[in-house]
Amino acid sequence: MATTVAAALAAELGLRTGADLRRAADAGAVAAAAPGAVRPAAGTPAAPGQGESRSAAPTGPPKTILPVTPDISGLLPHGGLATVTAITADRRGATSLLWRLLAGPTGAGAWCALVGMPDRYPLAAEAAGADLGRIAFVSAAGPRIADAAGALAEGVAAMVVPSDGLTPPQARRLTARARKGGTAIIWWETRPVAGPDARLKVTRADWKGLRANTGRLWGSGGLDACELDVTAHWRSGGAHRARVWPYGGDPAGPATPWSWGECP
Amino acid sequence: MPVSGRAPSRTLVARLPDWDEEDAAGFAPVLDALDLLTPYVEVLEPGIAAVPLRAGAGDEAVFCERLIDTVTGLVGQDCLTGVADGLFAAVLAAQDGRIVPRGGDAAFLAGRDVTDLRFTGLVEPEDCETLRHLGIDTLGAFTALPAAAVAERFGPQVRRAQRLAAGELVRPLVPLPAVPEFSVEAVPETPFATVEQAVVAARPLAERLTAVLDAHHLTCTRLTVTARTAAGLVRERTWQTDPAATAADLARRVRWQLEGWRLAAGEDDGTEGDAVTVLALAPGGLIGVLDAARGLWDFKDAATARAEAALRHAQTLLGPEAVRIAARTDGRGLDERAGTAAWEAEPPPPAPSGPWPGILAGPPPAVVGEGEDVEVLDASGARVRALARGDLSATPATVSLGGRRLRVSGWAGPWPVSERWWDGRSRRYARLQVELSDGRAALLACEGGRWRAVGWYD
Repeated sequence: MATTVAAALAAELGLRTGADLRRAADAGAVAAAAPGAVRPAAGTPAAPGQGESRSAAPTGPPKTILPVTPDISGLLPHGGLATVTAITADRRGATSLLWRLLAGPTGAGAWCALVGMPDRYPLAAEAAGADLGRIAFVSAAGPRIADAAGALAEGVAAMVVPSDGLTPPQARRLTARARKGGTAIIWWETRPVAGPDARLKVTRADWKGLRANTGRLWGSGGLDACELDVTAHWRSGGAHRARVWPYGGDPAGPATPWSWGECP
Repeated sequence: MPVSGRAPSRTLVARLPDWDEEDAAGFAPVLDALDLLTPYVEVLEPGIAAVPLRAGAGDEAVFCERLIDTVTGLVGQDCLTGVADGLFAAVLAAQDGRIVPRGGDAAFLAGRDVTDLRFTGLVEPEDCETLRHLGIDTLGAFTALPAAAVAERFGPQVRRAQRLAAGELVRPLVPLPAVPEFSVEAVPETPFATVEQAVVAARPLAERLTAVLDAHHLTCTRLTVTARTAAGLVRERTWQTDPAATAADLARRVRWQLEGWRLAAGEDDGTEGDAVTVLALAPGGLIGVLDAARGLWDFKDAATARAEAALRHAQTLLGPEAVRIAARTDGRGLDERAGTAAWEAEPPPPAPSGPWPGILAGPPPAVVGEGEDVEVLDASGARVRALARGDLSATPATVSLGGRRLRVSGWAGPWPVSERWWDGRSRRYARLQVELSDGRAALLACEGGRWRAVGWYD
């Protein structure tokens, strides 16, 4: 039934077979290729075919800059998530910082992937403002982490990779590939990596809402917010600080940076 | 294009009441007959099939007559049909061959007996019996129950059944599985000894497949890749594909799959037995090109299309279960509240069906561990227990964790949970939030007198 309906409509449109329509679809795809969620970096034309400038890759401007929430944007070199960022993994509150970092890109509809990071609790990401519909949790272990990251570097907007899952040469290759393809890498720095554009480190994590409740048998209160002091070291030099409330509740206002700027 | 403003399609269920349930193969001619009338057929079980009816496809009663005549002529058995907006209502309507008027699902369902809930496949017969004993003997009375109470008393499955019975939840039909005559295969004279050789053959194969489908004005939403090796091994995997995928996209999918199989086989490739003797592609989930073209109008932007291709590539390397999407779902416990599903391979976790009293407020822990054992101790070093009356036996002072004792600098709770107290699967536990002197904060749970760290606020 649908086949005859399709044939009738196709005839009406002047198409003889599905192959004709497919050609029309391809034309449509080219027309619709303008980037939606991600904005092209300033000075980098978004037209396809510009990615061939391989020589400029390590120092040139990033192809795309993903939007991040305003409390974090001051910590990142281009005011958004681009190319290579590292989060020092062994600091308390690092996972909450990661979720907050993903809130901006996923909220703008960009796909993010976590590779080989088990035991992360997705609802915390949602509480930090991330869109779970745009986060792929890719389970991989050992050598498969490198395989998976290599495949993902072809297209996802941002991916989080534990740095001890790759050997240093693999990490360099992955970085080069991601720079070329415009994928932002967030190293979950379980082992130091060389030369990230920004390295984010939680210097203090403070959980709000729990009380000493001395002498009580039922503790009043309840954990309701988290305050992080984050320092960013940029490759271009300089340290930048911000106070981040990943799950909201900032008494100073919603999601505004507490203070940030150049510190010697 | 006629997408917006079109009346939603209706569902027709055809049922052979005397069908032998074991006889799945004998049902094939009936499906073939249905296939002539519509390209979408879902077999609910042998003897019962569902097809969608397009709005404006003609008089439903006439269509049903024609279908009944066709099927009866084929298999010589009585056939009943039911038509309604939703699948559940249509299944019930097929019990006595009714046509439920458009928009009349809720009214039709309200009058049905409560035991009809078993057709949802979500409700146990005992639960139906319990409902009857409670004086709930129609679906109408059942849907009138407060949602939270149903979730609390019977669990999320029955709550979902309640939404189905109220006509709120509609399950779409799953399209027909692969049609064999559309599948294409390559049988090389000498078996493909390497993946590269097979990949070279995959491109013309994919082109043949798209040509066959184009000639029928169809496109596929699933692709089954099959490879037979010289050793007699058959490897097969089915993938979701973009209906707008070109032959090149399909060929790339085949290449990824072949590479994935090589990775899975490990280092010992190159043996004679691994040579591929037959490579076959079978389309599945066929839909008309004009339906697929809907994807053209709300076109995915290029970045999303690229990201999805990359995720599919990772899926091919690691297996479809490796790429997962998480979502909030039914339950109180940490692991119950977060459901995951393999991306594009499984339906996403069901959305929360109702309020869940007793879930913790505030941000959830960012890391869930294996639930390592901990001990909660009071100032004198004695174990602290969570008592049934809802408080602790003493004020917690230290937490012993992996051989270390850490002072408790702040705490809150306990919050007790008592689930399914009415049957053998009952669970009782209490949750406690603690902040330790080293700056870590944890969510502890005490079940059966044992404390475990179920989550870390990181």
